[in-house]
Amino acid sequence: MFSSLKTLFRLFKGHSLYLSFTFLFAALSISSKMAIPFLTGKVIDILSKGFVFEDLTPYLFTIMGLLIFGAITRYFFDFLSGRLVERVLFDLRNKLHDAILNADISSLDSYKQGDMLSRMLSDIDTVQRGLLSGVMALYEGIVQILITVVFMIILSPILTAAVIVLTPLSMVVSRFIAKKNANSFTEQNASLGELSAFTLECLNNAKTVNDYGLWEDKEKEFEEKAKTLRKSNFKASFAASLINPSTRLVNNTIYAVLILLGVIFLIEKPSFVGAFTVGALASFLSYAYQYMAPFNEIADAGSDMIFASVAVKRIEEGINLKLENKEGKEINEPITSLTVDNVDFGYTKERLVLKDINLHIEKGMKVALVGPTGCGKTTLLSLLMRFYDQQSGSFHFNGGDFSALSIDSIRGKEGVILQEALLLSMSIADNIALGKADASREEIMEAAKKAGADDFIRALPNGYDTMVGRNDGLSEGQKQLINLARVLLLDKDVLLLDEATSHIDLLTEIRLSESFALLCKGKTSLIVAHRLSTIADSDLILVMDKGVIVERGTFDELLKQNGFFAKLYHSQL
Amino acid sequence: MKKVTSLTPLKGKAFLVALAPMLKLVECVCELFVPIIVSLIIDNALTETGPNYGDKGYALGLVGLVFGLALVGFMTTMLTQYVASKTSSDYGYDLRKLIFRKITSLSPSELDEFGRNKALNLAGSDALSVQNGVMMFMRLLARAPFLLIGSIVASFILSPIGGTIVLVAMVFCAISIATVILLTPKQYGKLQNELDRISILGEDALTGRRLIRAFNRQSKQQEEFLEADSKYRKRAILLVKINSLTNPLTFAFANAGVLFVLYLLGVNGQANMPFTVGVGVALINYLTQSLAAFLQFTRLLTVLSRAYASKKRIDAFLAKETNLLEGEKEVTCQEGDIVSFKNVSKGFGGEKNVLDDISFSVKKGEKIGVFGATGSGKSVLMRLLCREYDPSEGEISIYGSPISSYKLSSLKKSISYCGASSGFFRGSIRDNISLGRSFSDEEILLALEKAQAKGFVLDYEDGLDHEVEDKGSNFSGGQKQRLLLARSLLEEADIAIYDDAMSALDNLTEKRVRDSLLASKSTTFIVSQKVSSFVSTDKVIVLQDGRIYAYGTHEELLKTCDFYAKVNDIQRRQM
Repeated sequence: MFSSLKTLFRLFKGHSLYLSFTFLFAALSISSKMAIPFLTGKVIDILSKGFVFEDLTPYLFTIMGLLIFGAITRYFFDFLSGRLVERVLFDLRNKLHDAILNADISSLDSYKQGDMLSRMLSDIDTVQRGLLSGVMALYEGIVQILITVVFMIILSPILTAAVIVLTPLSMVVSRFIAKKNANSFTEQNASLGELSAFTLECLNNAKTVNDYGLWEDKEKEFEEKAKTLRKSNFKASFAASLINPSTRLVNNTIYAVLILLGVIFLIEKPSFVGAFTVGALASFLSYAYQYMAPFNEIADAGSDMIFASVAVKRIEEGINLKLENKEGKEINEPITSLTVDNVDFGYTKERLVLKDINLHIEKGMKVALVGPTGCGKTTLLSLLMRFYDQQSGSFHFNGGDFSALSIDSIRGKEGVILQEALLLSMSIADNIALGKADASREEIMEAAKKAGADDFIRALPNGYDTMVGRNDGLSEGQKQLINLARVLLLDKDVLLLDEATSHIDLLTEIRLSESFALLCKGKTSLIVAHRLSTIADSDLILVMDKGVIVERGTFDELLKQNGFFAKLYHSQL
Repeated sequence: MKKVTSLTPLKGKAFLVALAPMLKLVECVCELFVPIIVSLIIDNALTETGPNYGDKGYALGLVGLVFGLALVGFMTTMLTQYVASKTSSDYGYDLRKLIFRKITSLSPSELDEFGRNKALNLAGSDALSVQNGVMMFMRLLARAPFLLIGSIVASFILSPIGGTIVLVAMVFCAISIATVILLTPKQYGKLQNELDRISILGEDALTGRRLIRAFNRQSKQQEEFLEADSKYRKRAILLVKINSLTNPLTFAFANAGVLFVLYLLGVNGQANMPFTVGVGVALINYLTQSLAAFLQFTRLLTVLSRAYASKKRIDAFLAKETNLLEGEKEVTCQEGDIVSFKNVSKGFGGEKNVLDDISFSVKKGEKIGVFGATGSGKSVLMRLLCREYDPSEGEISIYGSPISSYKLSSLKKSISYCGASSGFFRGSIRDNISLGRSFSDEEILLALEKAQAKGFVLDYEDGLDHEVEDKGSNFSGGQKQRLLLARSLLEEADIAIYDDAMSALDNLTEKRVRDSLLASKSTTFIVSQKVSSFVSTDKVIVLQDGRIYAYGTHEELLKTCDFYAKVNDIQRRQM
């Protein structure tokens, strides 16, 4: 528990003044709260003998003052601690998002998407719980215990000693039970996960299950898993439910013992006890009743903090992701040549996906990359976009090695259409203006018109302001047209384009084909090409197979060669 | 038929569910007596004017009673906890079975319409939430109200004035908490929206990571995120401000009660105390006890409201009935047309129907192509054929009888459907291909060969035993399709449907697979967007905008159908 406390406390760095005030208010509020039973005891004593009302008034006024003061300071404690925690979470979320935006792509690739996203959402939730129900509750509990002890000592040191000696019993009991339970909770979580994964698979494959008449079998399997869950449910919940009653029994027994001792002291009045009154006993019992409660809360706080510190570590792992190297020179001149020199690349060291790639493109050339699925065409474009680093070899703009140039300025020179047509969650206009956030609406519409997307955009209920990105109802082809519009809006020296053509409806296909041609006119472009029109029109065709450039030349030259390219061309007949 | 709800499994356990709170009542009564006993000790044994003043035996006896009550309370609680845990876990089991049974009774498209994630949550988090709600009810829910009401009643018994004080203090506490609770739901709704926005931006940062870098969009995205996060933080802090009122207000009101008790005791002097000092002490104890119970109760309410929301969702799901009614007949081979569509239309509630007035018939063993662009209705046509749903108008017949007259299980056996790429289960390749049917490894390998998949499968050291990961993610798109094709090819069904099942294959591979499909004896439907897929079929149905635009052989259509020919032209220009 202490190491998780340390981990969580790290999060408050930079907020120490604020934290101190929060703790101060807590202490003040708890002191006020705890002083009331003491004063109440004094009043009881006065009431037990001969008195006049005026004897009571100072106490009554003090109690009223403490009541108001305690309430106000309590409000501030709750408010300030809640506000502080929200600030801490705000920082964490922002840092994590920033890290994701600037991380090296290969380090992001290694995480399952759901995993990284859950760090921003459910892990942050866990941290919140750990800070509020954990750290704050722990502090509150400790302060309460300390102040209670102080008051109890004032009333009767001996009874306090009894309480302090006996209370750990309650903690021993609860820890004993908790230890025995730890396994049943892990078991329960595992059973829940199993059942969930199984159900999801059935749901995702419902049609297959239906078609092959597998529901009966699946139901039997489900029942088996549900039986396992039932067992671990019972064990976990029964085990957990034992803690409170057991600690209550211990606490009630201690309470009875205290009453016993108090009664003996009052009746026998032994000399070592000193002044001890009925009022004192009443107050003491009140304190004792409240003394034991925080211990249970501290135990709960402990487990919340442990979960939270695991979550913090996961979040910090994300924040500390390896970032892209932003260093390097800017290129300010227009790009007149692009060279690829002996490049080897593999996502893992063992398997090379690209082998010995050599290529030289001059300004204005249109180069097509052609080859069967998986031959490395898209990978080559990814390297040119600096998403990954090659194992050996180099890339050059105007003779200048990429490794000396900054990633941002390299990308700044490239206009890109990726294989997957992805829209971010914003309006269509903002999506088109992705590369130029301050573009005017006219510029955006102009680009959309050129891409052939203007028609369908204006047919949408909110036109260019339609929010897209999730369940937007746009077809693959329409998204591709928006992709094109994005690049048409900008004026980039070098175009890196991926012509994905599967699953596009016919009319859009025709439009795309025309817009693509328009886009490439007069530009330096490297295109992963599928359309015959694109290929036939290129200044140079690079034919790739299994990561290697096997043939190169113009369309006519390659057909005359009657090699791999020719075979590919003829096979679609 | 009796309605089944999420609480139906509790009917058999009604006795136990009622027992637990009763047992709690016993425990609470034990707890409630303690302040009374303490007041008796104070008034009788410790106050000079008391009848048993100084009587140690009397006092000790009462202390023993306190301890005895604690023991009785403990034992009843243990029993309650056992009953509650056993009953709630049994209930959870029954509830989950009910939910899964309902899942199996709905058609896949009804499930999709409902939402897969929603259905998953029902069986998972919602079921657990309701189960916990039942357990909470049995274990804890009874306690707080009992203690609260018990404290008030006990106070009244001791002194009507005292009881009034306790009651009034609790009423004020209730009002404060209710006000806070009422102010918050709208804010929580808005907070959730803001959290959704944050989550969407986070997802974009991950799925769109290449896009964002390619367009140097990092700083703008961070700006957007900061804006959304700031909105969220502001609202979260507003909620903190509101919720922070709970503790101070309840503290103030409860202690105001204490203050008032003391005031009443002293205000009229010693001779005119409205109740004894001992009673005063008891009242103060009850105030403290009831405040604690109150706060515990409000904490429970949040758990229960979540459980209630889950309950409603589960009830709504359990009330769904499938729209597919089946008949009694088994599918048996007859003479004549094996498949016939007569004036079939299908709409899903939108302005336009997806399919309109479709009529055609197919003879046994024929190989039929179905061609159309996205949105033309070809998938819907095939799903009507395997009876995933019924047409809005018209009639579909198999072997001369209406499709609805057959038992669904018999229908499923005679029609095989192969889709684009989903349908993998965690397990071995062998399991995924055979799917519960008993075929030898040789037969499985033969099917794989026909599907052009034998090569890559045998490339694995463990061959057919090689594991298929979640959703087949360890295979490429083309490999997945070939595995699914092998599954279909394993057994010759009466009617075989291939719905865009070769879209990820290159032309050469597709041709080879197509040859295997066309060689089988099944009446086959091949759905595709590529004209080249229909080269050796008997007939092709051309769909456009939900209607049959043309129907003929591949060669006929190239000559007579403009649309068909134009598409062929465009598609031939792709490599």
